Amino acid sequence: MISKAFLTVLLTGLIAGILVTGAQMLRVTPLILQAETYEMGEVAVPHTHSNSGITHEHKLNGVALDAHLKIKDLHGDQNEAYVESGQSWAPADGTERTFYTFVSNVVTGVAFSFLLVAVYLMRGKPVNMKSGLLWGAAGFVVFSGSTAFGLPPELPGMTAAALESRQVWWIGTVIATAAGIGLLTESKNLLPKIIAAVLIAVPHIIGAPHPHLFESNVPAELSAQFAVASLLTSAFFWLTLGAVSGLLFQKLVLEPSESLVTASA
Amino acid sequence: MTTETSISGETLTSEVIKSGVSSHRMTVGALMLLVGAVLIFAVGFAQGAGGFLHNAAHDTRHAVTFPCH
Repeated sequence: MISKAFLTVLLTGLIAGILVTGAQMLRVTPLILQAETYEMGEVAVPHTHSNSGITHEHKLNGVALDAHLKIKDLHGDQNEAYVESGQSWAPADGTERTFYTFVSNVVTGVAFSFLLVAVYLMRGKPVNMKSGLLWGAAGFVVFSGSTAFGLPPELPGMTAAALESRQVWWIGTVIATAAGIGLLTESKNLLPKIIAAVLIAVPHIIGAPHPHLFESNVPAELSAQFAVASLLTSAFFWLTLGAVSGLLFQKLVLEPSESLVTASA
Repeated sequence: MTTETSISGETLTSEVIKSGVSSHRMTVGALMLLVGAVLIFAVGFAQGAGGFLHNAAHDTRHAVTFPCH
């Protein structure tokens, strides 16, 4: 049983990881790449003023950089801007980056399927593709829906509160929402259901950490497009995970043992 | 009398087997929850040496709505 359950987890993660990598390339990745042009550190713009003959440079990025590069008449002798490097290793854009994204999508898929199959095992009730789809939907609500309600999906370059405080809120929200949904589905009495509603609501009553001032180089329209694209992509990811894990769990884990029971009876 | 005893004996055995199987299922399920959580932490939150994990999993983090930067 254990090996079949593991097989279900690995196959589901692989299939969902492959499919979501394709889905991601439609909208999410192009938007990330576009936003990164606004995020890139500071660009040094050296130039000589034609009137005074003074040479100096500005360190600029984003909108200010665009504006500065347009002032041709003031900056007669504009040299080419160069990007200050000094970043740590990152996969090169193109095939290498897509490959690392593919690998981490598969690992994420395997991680999420571990949770789904754990739920199937612990409930000990029949599972098929349809009920798997519902558990996938629950996974989406826990990991993307409830968290995005407080912290919208971020693009590189967007202004946000300190990373640690957002991560703490994110993890707390995931745990509270998962516990809430677990209570809702597993209990028949009123009191646990009320507790469940409170658990699901509390993270949003506390509120997600936000910066005091929203200053972003990323155009608002790009952020809005990204929020929709990434939420739909992760919904697709979760529904695939749910349907595939439900189907495989039924075929690999549940049915062989059923036939064993009928054989021994 | 003998038949009754043997019947109750059988029920007991099958109950013992059932509870044994279900506690085994719970253990495997709990372990899977734990492994899943550790993997999610590695993909979604860990920075790794020199940001290796962060940069490798960067686009996934943005796509699956993890807080990233």
